[in-house]
Amino acid sequence: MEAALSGISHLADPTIIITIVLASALGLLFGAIPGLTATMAVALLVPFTFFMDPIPAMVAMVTVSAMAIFAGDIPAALVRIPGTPASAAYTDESYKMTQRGHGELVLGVDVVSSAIGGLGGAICLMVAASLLAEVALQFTSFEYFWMAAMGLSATIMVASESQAKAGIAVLLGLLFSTVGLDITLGFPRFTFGEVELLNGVDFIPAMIGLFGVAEVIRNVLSGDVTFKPVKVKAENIFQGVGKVLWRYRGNMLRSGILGVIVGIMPGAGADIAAWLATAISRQRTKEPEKFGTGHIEPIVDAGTANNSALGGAWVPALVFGIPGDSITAIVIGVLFMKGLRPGPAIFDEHPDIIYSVYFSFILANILMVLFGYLAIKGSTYILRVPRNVLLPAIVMFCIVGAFAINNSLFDVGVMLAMGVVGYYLEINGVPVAPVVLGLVLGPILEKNFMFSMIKTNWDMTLFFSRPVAAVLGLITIAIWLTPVYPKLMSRGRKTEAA
Amino acid sequence: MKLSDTILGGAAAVLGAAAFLDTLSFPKMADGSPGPALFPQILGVLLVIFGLIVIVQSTRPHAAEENHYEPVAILKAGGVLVGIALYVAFVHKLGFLITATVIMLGMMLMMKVRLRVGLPAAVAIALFSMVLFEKVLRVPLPPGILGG
Repeated sequence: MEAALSGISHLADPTIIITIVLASALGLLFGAIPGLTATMAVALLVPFTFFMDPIPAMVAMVTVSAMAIFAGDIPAALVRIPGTPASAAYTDESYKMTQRGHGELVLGVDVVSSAIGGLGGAICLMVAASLLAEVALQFTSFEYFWMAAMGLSATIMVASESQAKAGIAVLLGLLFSTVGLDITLGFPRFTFGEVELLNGVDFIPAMIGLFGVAEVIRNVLSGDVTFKPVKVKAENIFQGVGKVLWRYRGNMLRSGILGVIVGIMPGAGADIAAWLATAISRQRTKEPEKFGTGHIEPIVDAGTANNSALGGAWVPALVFGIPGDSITAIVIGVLFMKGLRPGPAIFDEHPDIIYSVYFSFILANILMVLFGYLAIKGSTYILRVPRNVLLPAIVMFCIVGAFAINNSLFDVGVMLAMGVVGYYLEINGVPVAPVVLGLVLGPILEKNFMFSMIKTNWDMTLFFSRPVAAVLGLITIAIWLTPVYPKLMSRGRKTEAA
Repeated sequence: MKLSDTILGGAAAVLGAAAFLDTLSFPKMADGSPGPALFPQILGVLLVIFGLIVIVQSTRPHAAEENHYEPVAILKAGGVLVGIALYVAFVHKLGFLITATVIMLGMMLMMKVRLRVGLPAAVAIALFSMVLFEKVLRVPLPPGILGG
């Protein structure tokens, strides 16, 4: 209780209030400008968090991500381009409603359902994280090994385009994580005689390279886009929203829970939550004929799900140190940078940080309604910001940001190298986020694997000797076998027919 | 047949094999069991396997040989990376303000921003980042020929 009160009192601190306002502005801007994503905004924030105390740093990252995921809905409704991938699932539906003259209603539903979804996600985070932290205290290296393995496997399996390519991305990240002194003998691996690589590939410049530079490159690759946003009267956005949301209250509950579950799953975040929520909405609707013509129902569903996923993703990140999405992968990097180890112990050692994460989620989602309104009011201006001026500026912030952590040009080199890797992967249709996940989870995976191996005297069957470890292990193996299921099923059917 | 994917898979497989070969020189643990080499070896083998899968998938007839992006766009994207490399090469000599302005202006011109918009924008952003990082965050940026 004391920690909870201290968490609240922290949020009343003027520095924190200024942080929240600035972070909201950054999140809304990056979310609303197509091509700039929530992940990129959080990655660019990292160098600044280096100079902040842990609590404002966490508050800033929570606020930026929540605002950006909502703001992605604005260009979806006004120019038919999602501001972030999390709004892609219902962009067409939103824009069609706008064309039919319901732009205000769509944006109103977007902002309120995002806020409610975000609040629901925050409540689930508070309950689930505290409960799981108790369980996680019993975890040994076996469970942690399987958790990391499961997370990475799930990342590969949920890849939309090619699972083999996502596998390469994960393995690349894991391989990068082995650079530097190893944990068993302190032997320098893959350092090529570079003293600066002995401590490994620095996570921060690597992430800025992969999420900042590589995303700028993606924008350059997609060419020049000019927007002609539809004008809406921001004053009218809340008219009729209550009626719509009350009508679809069941949908919101379902999608909110779905979002949290998807968020908790490592490797899947707000964008997948939105796609799934839309798909289920289409399946369960009473008015299937309205889908595709500009219908509010999937917008309510997906708008709730993508914001509730954000809270869900923090659950494994805080409890196990295993990121639920790419944003929390960055958060874990920042926690490590601050000398804090995410895991069950952080709940006892730094409850004030945990509570400030909880409360900043709640505060950010309440403020979202006000700030969201202002962003919608200014949307014509935001969408007029020239991207070809903004992108070089972002590159410069990436450079200075990577440099700022250790005042080292070597780090800018690491960022550049990762930018090149990201660029090559990007033009070949390989997702970049799994590289970061591999980089974060690599040390956890290797450490717990080697500890378990040495502890059991190289007997792998003991990896299944504890009940929770066995369940996690079986789930992981089941995930590995997913590509084989369709073949097994069709073979089974053939034998039945014969 | 999709050549770019064949190359991607090949590159992954070669990287995996190279990592594996490099680990052969790593020391073993005192009891003779594998130590530092084990994890990267597993990764190396898996990279080779996944690389081969991508190669096989790329040779399937329905894998259309098409590039997602315009060649000009790919060149421009490469230009962004060259810009960062030039920054690393010249920032100590020329200092932050000049290097950052020139590189941002170069990128803006490449992205078809007019000079009369790009020049003041590049100067303004360079000055803003310098004030933000040097004065607010106290990160010393290289002064170069403009100062001390």
